[in-house]
Amino acid sequence: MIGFVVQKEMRALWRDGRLLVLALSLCCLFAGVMAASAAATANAQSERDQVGATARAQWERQGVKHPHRAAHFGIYAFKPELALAAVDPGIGDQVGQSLWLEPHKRNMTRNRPAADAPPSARLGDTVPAFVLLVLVPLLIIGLGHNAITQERESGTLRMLNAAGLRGGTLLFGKWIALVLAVGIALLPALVVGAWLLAGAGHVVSAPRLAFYGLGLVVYYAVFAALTVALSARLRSSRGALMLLLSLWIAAVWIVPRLGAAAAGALLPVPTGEAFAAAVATDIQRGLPGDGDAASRSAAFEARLLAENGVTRPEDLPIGANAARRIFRDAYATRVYALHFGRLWDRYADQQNVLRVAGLLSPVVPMRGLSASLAGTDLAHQRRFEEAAETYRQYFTVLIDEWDLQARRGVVAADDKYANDAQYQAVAPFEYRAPPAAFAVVTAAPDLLLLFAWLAAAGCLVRWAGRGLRP
Amino acid sequence: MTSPILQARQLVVDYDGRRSIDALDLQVPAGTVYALLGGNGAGKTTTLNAFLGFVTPASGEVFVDGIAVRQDPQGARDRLAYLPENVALYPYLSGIENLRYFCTLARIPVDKSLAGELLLRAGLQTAAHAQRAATYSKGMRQKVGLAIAYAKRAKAMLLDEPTSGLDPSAANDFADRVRAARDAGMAVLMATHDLFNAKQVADRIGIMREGRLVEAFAAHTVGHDALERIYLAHARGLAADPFTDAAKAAA
Repeated sequence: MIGFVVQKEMRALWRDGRLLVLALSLCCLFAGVMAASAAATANAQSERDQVGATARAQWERQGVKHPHRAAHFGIYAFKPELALAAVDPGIGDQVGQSLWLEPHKRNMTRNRPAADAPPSARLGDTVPAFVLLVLVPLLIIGLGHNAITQERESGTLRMLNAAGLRGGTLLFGKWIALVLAVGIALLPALVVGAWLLAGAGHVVSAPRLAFYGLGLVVYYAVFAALTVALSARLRSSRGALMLLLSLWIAAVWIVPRLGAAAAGALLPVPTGEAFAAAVATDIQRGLPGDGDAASRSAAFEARLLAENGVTRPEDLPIGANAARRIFRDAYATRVYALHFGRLWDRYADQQNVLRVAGLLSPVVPMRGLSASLAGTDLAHQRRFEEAAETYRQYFTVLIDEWDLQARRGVVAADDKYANDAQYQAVAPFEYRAPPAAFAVVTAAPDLLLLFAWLAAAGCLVRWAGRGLRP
Repeated sequence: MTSPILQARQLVVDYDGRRSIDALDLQVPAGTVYALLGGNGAGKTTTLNAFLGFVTPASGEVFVDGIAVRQDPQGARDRLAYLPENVALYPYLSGIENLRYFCTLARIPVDKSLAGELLLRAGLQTAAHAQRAATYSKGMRQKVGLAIAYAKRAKAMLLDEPTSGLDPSAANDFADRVRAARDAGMAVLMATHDLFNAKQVADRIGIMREGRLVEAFAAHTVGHDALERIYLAHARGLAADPFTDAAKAAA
């Protein structure tokens, strides 16, 4: 019987032209936004590839010089974006595009796109995720706000009631039909979007795309359920539209912003300067029980001399300065790992606070899921930066090891004995995005929240159906 | 005497703080057309709503085929057919599609061919079956409503101002179909302003005023003129015993 309601609704939507108009509008809008976003993402990737290649070429052709000076030339690491990043840039515009890897220091990313954005960016970016997550729910409201009120106003609900209709049947049928209609209307847009992505040279991960699709279906089902249930409970179409629009504004604009503000206020993160100062202090003064830099260095030097059976650094069979650098950098790396770990944990805690706001708006978990599957969330960024940090340690230690092995005692720093062959022996930084399972596990709380919303929305439809009166 | 299909016992309905129905006693047996006459606000439509379970009585009970509406409104509706003043159909669906949709939601399976037969029986010509309901006249929409009633094999039919806005030919045609339903054993309760139609179709006529059934009599006992005088006298609140006065005048 529900199937019959769905069939009738789809037929009416098709015959009155709303479905066609909706599909065409969505297709045009989404195609335009997708084309711009796919091209921008492809251009950005191309620029990163070019800069990366140029920087690598420069690295490999530094000529004969001291290896540590060569290491200070540094290496740029770029996060390769997934195809879905063109759909949802997530935090991409807020974090830097490149990470400069150098000895002694673990840097933060630099070159934030948001910093170079034109003033129009302050009005909000029209990216495909904006269409999917913000505008489509608005279309659901536009399409379904009068799903029941119109039946009430025209008198068909009275006839259906008199005929012996069970309210739940009608409402569940309308609900499914509304989701189906949005799906059908969106399908051409998504096909065109996928084609544009492929045309821009992106390879889409099927599992990520499948989960994204699942998330969208659940998300739209939640909005459709709210729309149908409120339409059933309100007397007039105008009243239903006004209330639903108010809820949309709250869900899309107010709750996420309040959630983010609350997360920032409850769990503040240090400023860049404060962070750098805290790291410097811990390196200088030492972590609890480690002693300060001078005492640590003295202890290391004594141990080094003892291990090598000499009394002076000049007599060491290895490069003394390289050994000192390796020791100091290892300690700094430990301190950086501690501070960056805390910082990332704080970001994750903020994300969890924001998830609490997801109890008030399904937009919050859907945004989290979207960014996660697009590989543009904090977890993916952290994974990339940690991989880059591992690489930084690899190449700086490798170069220091050459220095260590090539020297005897203390030699002047301007000795030139490293050459291009050695620089070329440093493996390039290659980063692969984690598998879809990583994104799904990361976004599991968001996915669960979305399903909780779906269950609640289903209960709401059931409740509205029980009390359905003409 | 057979037990009535539609029955109201001391029915009282309050609506918006006002007494809409006051101690109404009413019985419509099978094979009977009962016309409720009365001015606007007399309580005719509210009486129909009480049988449909759309209003909750303050006291008293209404029964459909022995089922107390308050206890089992769904069961009562399953035995009822209802035609409002304006039969509302889905404009983008054809007559057949509308009929099948309403019937399916009433849990009555009606295939395409049966739907066509029912519409024909209700008087809707075959050529109109596949037309969209948006193009239907009021009379055509009512025929779809009648077809729904036929499909339901309802024991009783509630008609709310069924001939309002119909041309004389369509009204006459509709009267024929109501009589046919009665002859098939259906109990029909009709709320109307149309005295001519009431006299033409009904077996019994009741006159309501301010929520009370102030007069009830067999339709054959009065002529058209007498019915009009009785109705007007009650409507204006002039006669203490308008029926007796009118019957005397007619004699």
